[in-house]
Amino acid sequence: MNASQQEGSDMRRGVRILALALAAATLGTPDARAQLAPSAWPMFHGAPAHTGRSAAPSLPAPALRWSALLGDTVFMSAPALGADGRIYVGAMDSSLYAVSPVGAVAWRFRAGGPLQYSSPAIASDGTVYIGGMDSTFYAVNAGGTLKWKFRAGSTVRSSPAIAADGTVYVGSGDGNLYAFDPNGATKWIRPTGNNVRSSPAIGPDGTVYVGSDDGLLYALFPATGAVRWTFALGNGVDLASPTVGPDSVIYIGTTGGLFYAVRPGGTMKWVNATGHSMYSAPAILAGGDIVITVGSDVRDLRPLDGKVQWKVAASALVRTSVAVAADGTIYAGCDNDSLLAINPGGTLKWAYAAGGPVRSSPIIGADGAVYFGCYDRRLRALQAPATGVPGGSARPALALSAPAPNPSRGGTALTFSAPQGGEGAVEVFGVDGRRVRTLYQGRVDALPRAIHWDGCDESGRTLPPGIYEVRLRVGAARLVRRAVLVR
Amino acid sequence: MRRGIPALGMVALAGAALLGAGCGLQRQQQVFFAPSNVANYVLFGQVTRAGGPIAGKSVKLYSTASGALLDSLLTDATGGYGFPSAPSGEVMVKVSSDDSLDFAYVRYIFTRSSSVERDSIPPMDLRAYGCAAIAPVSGARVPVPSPNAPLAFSWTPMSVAGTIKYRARLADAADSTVWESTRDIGTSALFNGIGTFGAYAGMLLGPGEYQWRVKVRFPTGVTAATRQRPLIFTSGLAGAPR
Repeated sequence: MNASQQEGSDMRRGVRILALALAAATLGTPDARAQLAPSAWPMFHGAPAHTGRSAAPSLPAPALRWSALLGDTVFMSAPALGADGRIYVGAMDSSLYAVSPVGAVAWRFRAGGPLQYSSPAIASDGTVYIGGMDSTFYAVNAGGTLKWKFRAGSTVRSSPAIAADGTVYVGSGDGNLYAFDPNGATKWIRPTGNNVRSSPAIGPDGTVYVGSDDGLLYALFPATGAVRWTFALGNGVDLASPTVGPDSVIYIGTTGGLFYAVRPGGTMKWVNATGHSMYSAPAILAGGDIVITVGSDVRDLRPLDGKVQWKVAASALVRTSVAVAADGTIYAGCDNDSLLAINPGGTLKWAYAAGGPVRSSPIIGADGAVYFGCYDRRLRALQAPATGVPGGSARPALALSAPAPNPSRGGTALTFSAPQGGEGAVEVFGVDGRRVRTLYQGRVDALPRAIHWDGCDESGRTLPPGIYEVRLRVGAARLVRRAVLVR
Repeated sequence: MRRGIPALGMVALAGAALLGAGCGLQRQQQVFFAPSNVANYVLFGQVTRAGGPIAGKSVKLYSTASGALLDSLLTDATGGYGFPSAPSGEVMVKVSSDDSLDFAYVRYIFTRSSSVERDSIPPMDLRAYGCAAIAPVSGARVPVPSPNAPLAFSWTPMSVAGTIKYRARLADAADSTVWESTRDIGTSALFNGIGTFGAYAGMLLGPGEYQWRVKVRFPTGVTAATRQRPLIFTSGLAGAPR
């Protein structure tokens, strides 16, 4: 036991007392337990089982819907989606950001240290959970205020998972896996022999799975945290996290380069020697294949015996976990400053150039939009080019031309249309998300309509130079173009 | 090739003074120890035991890419040594010991950007300061481990200040690495019977003769290892699920 673990041990006694006090204070409260938010991607790797799979369509090609400039790098924190459509992500400026569906920062919550590794998990009442490098686990209200926090014995790099009963699980460098009630009471603490940077996954029967740097995969009873079984992995797992696949088979990689399939009873199904340390959670394709990131590869393993079916070799490390769209398209972030989309058969579909390494695992929204953070301080939302995205193909596709000229000195023109027609508007927004001008409001139909923007706001005042977003909105569908004003 | 450094006369120099002399130490920012006639050497340092200099100790220089022994010499009265030439690329400076209180070897591996680069090697102290393999005992016979019945390796840590990291290394009878535990400040590791190196990667080990040792990494980047301990894996049931 190292010093930080000892610290954690010392704290546990106090924590238990506090937990009992809090539990007593909340006895008699109706069951208002907040479960996992009903959104397309409410937590790390999409769901408590960590499958990383979405029911949303894939993007045939990438187009930037928006990018939100944050205060600092997004390191390995992956975004999560709230039921309100907001996107939440942690950044190196010790801030948790809530970004609106149109890319404006709604609020930022300041933690006591960088939110470097932990990805947020969102509860149905809007509570956002995230761990910090200041050894603190935070529960933040939907409005961006602190709900409660818990001081662990060391850093919290693990991403929290929210169980069906609302229990929140998260690991810490103090060697413990913690189970919290939504009100902040500690339900139980499971000590391990070393760091728990791994993010817990939850099986269909509620069993909690987590790896530890003590070299063990733990299967824990959800009610008590008692050990159902352990499985020796041979090496620590660092940030590698388990995923629960079909038939409750658990998949997990290690820093020693081995990738395991473990049966729900705790025996080995197979092992694959990847040759590289692993730091991600595997994803499960609809057919059961497992997709892992290792070194600079994305690899597909068959569930029967772990044999590699295909691999895509990138030009730099791929450290993210992957996200999988309904058609099997796989998204991965890469240290070559890009987001990669890979066809289900293992060929590159497209690569989107970001402004820095992408170690923030991509996520997929209900409409197929792809969100990811980046070293360049931006949270991006990608969409399919020139289509109305929400609702998928059943909704009318929109068209909005790129402004011309762009940049402009105050006069630029666009055309827009909606093949299936509808009431809509063309509006201009600042980077802060405020609407500065409505260019058109009324019926939008298949016949393209031209519109001119003079670079002024609603009252005719000349707007300052900068980046603006021109948004076409018809019904629930939206399409955004960037317009740059220079003076 | 073995030779001493006649009348070398070592002096410890402040890093700033040597660097200030413009002698091309680009990679390393710190000069730990240098011969008085340092200009004659491209790679130099000092070997000690429990802090005291060791004279006449063999210091070997290897190319890690080829494994070839490039040069070998003996320390002088101050424990100092200096190699007059060394190639570019990754090289290893290694000192071995048979003293039971020492590590089996202490070594330093690093990359030289050019053959004329002049590098000061961090101090290499042979004393193990109590670091020793504990379990399994030498020659132990144990069932082949499995993920459900892993074998625990344990050792005593060095009794010195500073953060020192350890790992257990298991090798086959020919000293090919089978598995290494994750490097950590802890003093135990679990082996699950599955190799992670070379031809053993992903393989379930069979019964047979193996050997294990503890490897130590110092903050300077110098590494050391305890003596090898024979270990025999026997056939037999190594564990149903716990």
